[in-house]
Amino acid sequence: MKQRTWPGRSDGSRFSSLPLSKANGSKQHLKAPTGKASPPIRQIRYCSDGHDLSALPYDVVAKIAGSFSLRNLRAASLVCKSWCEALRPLREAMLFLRWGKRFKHGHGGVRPNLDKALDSFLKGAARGSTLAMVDAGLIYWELGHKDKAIALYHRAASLGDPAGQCNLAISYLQGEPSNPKEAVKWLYKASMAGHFRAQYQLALCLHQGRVVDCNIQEAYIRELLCDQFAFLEQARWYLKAAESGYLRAMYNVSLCYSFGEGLVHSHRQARKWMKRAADRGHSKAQFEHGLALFSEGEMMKAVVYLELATRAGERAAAHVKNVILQQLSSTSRDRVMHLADNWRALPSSC
Amino acid sequence: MSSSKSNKIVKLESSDNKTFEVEEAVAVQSETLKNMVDDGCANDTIPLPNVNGKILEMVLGWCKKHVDETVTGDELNKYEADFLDLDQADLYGLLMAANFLNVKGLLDRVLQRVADMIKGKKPEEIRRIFNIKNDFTPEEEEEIRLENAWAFD
Repeated sequence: MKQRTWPGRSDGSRFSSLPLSKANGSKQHLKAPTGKASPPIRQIRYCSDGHDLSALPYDVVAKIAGSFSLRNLRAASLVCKSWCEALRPLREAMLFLRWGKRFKHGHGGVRPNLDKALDSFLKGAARGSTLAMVDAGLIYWELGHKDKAIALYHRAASLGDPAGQCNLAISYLQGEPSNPKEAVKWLYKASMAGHFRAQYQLALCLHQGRVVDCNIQEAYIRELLCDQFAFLEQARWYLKAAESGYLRAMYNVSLCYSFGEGLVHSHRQARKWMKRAADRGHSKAQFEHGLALFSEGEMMKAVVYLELATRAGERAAAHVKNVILQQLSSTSRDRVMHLADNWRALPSSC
Repeated sequence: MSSSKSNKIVKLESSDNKTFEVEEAVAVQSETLKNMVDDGCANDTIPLPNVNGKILEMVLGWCKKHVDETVTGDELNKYEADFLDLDQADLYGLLMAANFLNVKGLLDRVLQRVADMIKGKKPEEIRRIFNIKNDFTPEEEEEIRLENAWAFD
C-alpha cells in the first residue's frame, strides 16, 4: 500500500466500517485483504548501536525480496550498496523471467517454445525468484510433471508468494488423496495477502464443507470474504456512477484502484480517475492529483492543481504548494497563477 | 534410562549476560538449539553472544506460545500479528536472532513483515523507514538505474 509522507489523505465518502475484529485499533475503512494483518509502521527511533538493516546478510535480503515484483526489486536495489549487491541474483532472475514469458507466449519476436520457456524460468527460480518458480511450476504441471510443479510451488509458497501458495493449495485439493487441511492452511495465507483466487477458493472450500476441523476460525474467514464481496459491490456501483459522470464516484473509484479494494490494484487506473475528478473540479482530487504530479517531477502541472485545490479550500494543499512555488522562478509562478485563473472545470453530472 | 518425554531444562545466556531457563520442548523450536541438544552439547548453559536479553526473551516467548497446546489457532494468529508490531531496532535484532537460531515460523513471519514494509515504496522512503544511509554516489545510482532499464524498457 502506498504510504504518503505528507498530510494524510482525505476520506471523502468512504465505506462505512463493518464490525471486524482487528489487533490494533480503528481504521476509517474496512480492513481489506490487501490491507493485510500487519500493523502500521512505527516512526523509527534512531538506532544507536550501529545495527541497521543495511548490514543484513545477503541471503536474508534475498529471501525478503524473493517474491518482489520488478518495481519493488528495483526500489530495494537502490536503497544501499549492500542490498544492491545482495539482490543482484534476483535482478538476473528477472531477466530470465522475462525471457521465459517471451518463449511461453511467443512475443518480442520470438517463436513460442515451451522447453526454452521452462529452461528460462528454472534459471530464474535458481536465483531465488518466486515469480519464476511459480511460472516454472505451471509449465511442469501442464507437461504432467506434477511432483516437480508442487516442489516449486512449495518453495515459492514458503517464501511468501501468494500465487505459489494458491497453486500449492490447489494441488493439494486436486491430489490423490486430496489434502484439504494443508490446502486451507495455504489458502488462508494467500487470502490474507490479498490473492483473489485464493479467497474465492477458500470460500468454495468452506462452502463445500471440505474443511471440518482446522485451526482457523471460520467466522473470521467468512467475515474477511464478506468484506471482499462488499468491496466488490460497492466498487462496481462507484465505477458505474463514475462512468456516468458523477464526480465523487470518480474520486472514490480512484481510491479503489489505488488500494485494490473491490477493483484490481492499478496505479494507472487510479491516476486516470483521479485526474478526471480533478479536471472536473473535485477539490480533494485536485490535491491528490497535484501530489502525484509532484512525485513524478511535473512541477508546473502539480502546482497548478495544488493552487486550484487551495482555492477550493484544501488547506493541506497550500503547504505543499508553497514548498514547490519557492523552487520556481517568478515567471513560472506568474504563469501558474495565470493558468489557475483561467482554468475551467470540465462538465460533470454532479 | 532416560524417559522419552524429558522435562529437561535448557539454559541460555544472552549477550548481555541474562540467563533464561526453558523446557527442552520450547528450546528445540530453534533448529540451532535442537542440533545442540541432539549432539549432547546442551548440558551446560549455552551462550548466545549475538542475541541480547530483550530479543531472546521475545523469541523464547514465541517458542513457548507455539508449544502450548491450550492456545487455539485463532489466539495464535492474533499473537503473531501483535508480536510483529515492533520498531526498527527490535526488528533488526529479531531478524538476526530468528535467522541464527533458525526458528522457522518466526523467521518467515519477520521476513514477510520486512518485505511488506518495503513493497510499494520508493528507495528514499525505504531508507527512511529502516534508517539506512544512502551510500551510493549519484553516478553509481544512475548506473544501477540504467543497468536493467535497457532490458526491461
